[in-house]
Amino acid sequence: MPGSSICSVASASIKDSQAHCARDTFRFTCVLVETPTRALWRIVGRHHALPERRAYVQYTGRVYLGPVTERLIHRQLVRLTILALALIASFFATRAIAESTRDMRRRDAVRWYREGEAALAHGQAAEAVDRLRRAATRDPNRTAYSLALGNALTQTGQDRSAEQVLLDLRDQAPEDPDVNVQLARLEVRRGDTSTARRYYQTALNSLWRPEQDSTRRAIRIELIQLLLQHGDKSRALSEILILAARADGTPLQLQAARFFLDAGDAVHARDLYKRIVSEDPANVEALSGAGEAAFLIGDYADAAHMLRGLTTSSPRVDEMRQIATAVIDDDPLSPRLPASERRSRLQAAIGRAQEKTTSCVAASTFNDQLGDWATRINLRHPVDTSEIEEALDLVSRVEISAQTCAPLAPDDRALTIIAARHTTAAR
Amino acid sequence: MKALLPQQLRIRENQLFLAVTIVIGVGAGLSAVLFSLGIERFSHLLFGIEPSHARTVLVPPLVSLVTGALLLKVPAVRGSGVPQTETAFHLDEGVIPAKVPFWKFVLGILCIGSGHSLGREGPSVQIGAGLASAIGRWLELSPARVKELVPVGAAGALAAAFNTPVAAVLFALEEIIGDMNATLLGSTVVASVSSVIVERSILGNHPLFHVPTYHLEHPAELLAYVFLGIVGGIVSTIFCKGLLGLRALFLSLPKWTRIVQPAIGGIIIGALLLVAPQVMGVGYEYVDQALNGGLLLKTLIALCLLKLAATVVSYSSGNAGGIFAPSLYIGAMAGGAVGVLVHRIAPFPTADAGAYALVGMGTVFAGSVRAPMTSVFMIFEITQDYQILVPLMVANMLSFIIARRYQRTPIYHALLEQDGIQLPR
Repeated sequence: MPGSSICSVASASIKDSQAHCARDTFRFTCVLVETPTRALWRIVGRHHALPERRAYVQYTGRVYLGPVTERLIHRQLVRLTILALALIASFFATRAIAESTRDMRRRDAVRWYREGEAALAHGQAAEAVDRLRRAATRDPNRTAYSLALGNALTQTGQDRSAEQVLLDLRDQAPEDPDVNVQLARLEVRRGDTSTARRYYQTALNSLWRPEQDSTRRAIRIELIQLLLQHGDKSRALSEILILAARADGTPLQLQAARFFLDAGDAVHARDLYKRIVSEDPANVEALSGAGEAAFLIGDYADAAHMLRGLTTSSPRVDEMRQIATAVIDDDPLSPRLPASERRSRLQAAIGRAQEKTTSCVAASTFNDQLGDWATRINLRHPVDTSEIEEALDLVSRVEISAQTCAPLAPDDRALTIIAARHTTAAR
Repeated sequence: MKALLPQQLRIRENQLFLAVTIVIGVGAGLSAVLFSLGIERFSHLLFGIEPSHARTVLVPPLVSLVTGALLLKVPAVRGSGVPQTETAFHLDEGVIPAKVPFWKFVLGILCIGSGHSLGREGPSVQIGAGLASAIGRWLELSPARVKELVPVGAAGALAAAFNTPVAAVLFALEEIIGDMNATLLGSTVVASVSSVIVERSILGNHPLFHVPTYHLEHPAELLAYVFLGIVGGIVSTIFCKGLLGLRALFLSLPKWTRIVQPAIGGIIIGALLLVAPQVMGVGYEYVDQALNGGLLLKTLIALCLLKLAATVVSYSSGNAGGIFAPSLYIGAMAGGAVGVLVHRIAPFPTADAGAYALVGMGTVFAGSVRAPMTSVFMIFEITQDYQILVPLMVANMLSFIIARRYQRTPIYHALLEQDGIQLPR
């Protein structure tokens, strides 16, 4: 039996405990074992002073525990299990309390949010920040509150705080379009275009519900405007192409076509404008845009055709119409012209250039050359094509020199365009 | 029945202690969460969403009348709870009567929920430590083990109350045990982790404060943080001396006045809340605003002074609640004010005022509680930003040195000395 063997060892090593050992051998064996817990001490009914305990602890090896000790350990385990079960129950109870507290907070948050929005609508941004902050604190899971807070903070100029609120939201939902758009607008305000573009693109590339198409389009338009404003035409073009492909109404098509023009893609702009004109031939904006696009492409005949008869309030369009018409009407090398008409147009061009040499000192050096050409043309019947090109080149140079004195009139610009077209063609 | 060898018994005992540690971590975490929820619900019950002036003025003294009567029965639950926990650990072999955590829980909710400018962390520490002590004794562990469980429970409770597990472990070692090399590191870590897991699984993993990423804008800015350290040291000295001075005054009053002393504090707090409701209770939402640079200079200075006064009154009059959160609040406001000034006059680029509010939190805590490592790690855990560490350490150490120069005894020890208790050094 383990008890008796322990007793003999204990009796040998602890002198003053022998009496106890002799009186209650079995129970004392429990004490002898390196009992680490107060519970065990209590069971045996004794509280030993420290030196004695140390003496017991020093004893190692062949000491066995009796059944009383095991019972004790089992009791501790049972109590621990009870405690664990109580904690599990407490955990669920606490969760229930936390949930009901969250409900309470949600109700409070709704009220704060409403008051914050009302304050914002009345232009009381500071008041709104206070209310919306409370709403966002009460219900942090509701994105709308934090978004509204971000917006109010932006309005009060607290960009850094607004950014923090939005970045926290972004951490929770990195692809949330609203959050990304707000962050993008914030970056636009701060002048960080590349970061703003990244946020915009994240917003556009995230998942959208079908009913949010118009919002998504509006965001794309915002991005395009930003890119165009900062001269990033190639990136703008890729967004415009998407916008144009999904443009399902005339106003949107017109906007996309205008963006094409602003991004320098006159070909796509003209195609889109023409598509609108084909459906609505009286659409002044489309006709004017198509004319402008044709003009930029260099298709002056088409430009003149589109712009002819248009009444617009745009001086730019009016000037384009005059130039395009002049390019068509004043070109001495237009096909199927009688020789006399060619000569007369060339003479008119030289005449305009001669006027420039008299009115502008910078162009006066060309006076003699122009005089020679005027004489030669008067003597020659018919005038040779190469000679016309040479004369037009001279006229063009005169016009360009005259630019230093005054801006060129539409007819003069038309002459430079005519010269340039034929010189390029000849080359 | 098969007998156990001593080695097996030792292994069993260690396993048992580990299991007890986990159980205590979970229990402390639950108690801290319940305590926080209790304060919120009680405050909501008393004040509603927007309290009327009458409610604001009347609630603190009326509730304090009740708490004053209850506190007479259990005087051990007055004040923070951290000094009492230290006493239990160093002088009472870890024995904290089971009624202490219970009444601390109830009275803490009553006092803080009724608008007193006190924190929930100190009471949570005492509740956690009390639970640990009670559990240890119920499980019939040896006195040494029961004593060891006290800082374990404290760390678990603080970890859940502040959502900063590392700082909680350091606080237990630095403040409760008073030894950074303590062998209890493993147990406190286990309790702290299990407590935070419980807290996050109930309340979600939301940071206590939403803080932007701040960093040193210019090497010369360290000078501004040196200045902030000096300000933090001065503010924490004023805070400690004010608290101890007024508490001494209350203690010198006849004993029969003890029952109404909390209510006297309540009257003053009611009047203060009328002027500045922002100093009510824990007040972390205003700390959050300061950390985001959302408060004006005048507001920051006013809130710093009013919170200091309100906390001194609430604590000294014997209400149950801690000074952990108020010291962070006062520090944030003082730091924010320094930040605004530095931003205006510094000839070099400086961080937003929020960065100074963040460092300011640490400086007043380090200066008053004298737990600089806890302070540094706590701020680090809140921000999770390495960039702020250097200015934080510089300012904290300076505040610590200045506060120690003018107020030699740390606040918790000084409070115990006022009660005639001397902890071993």
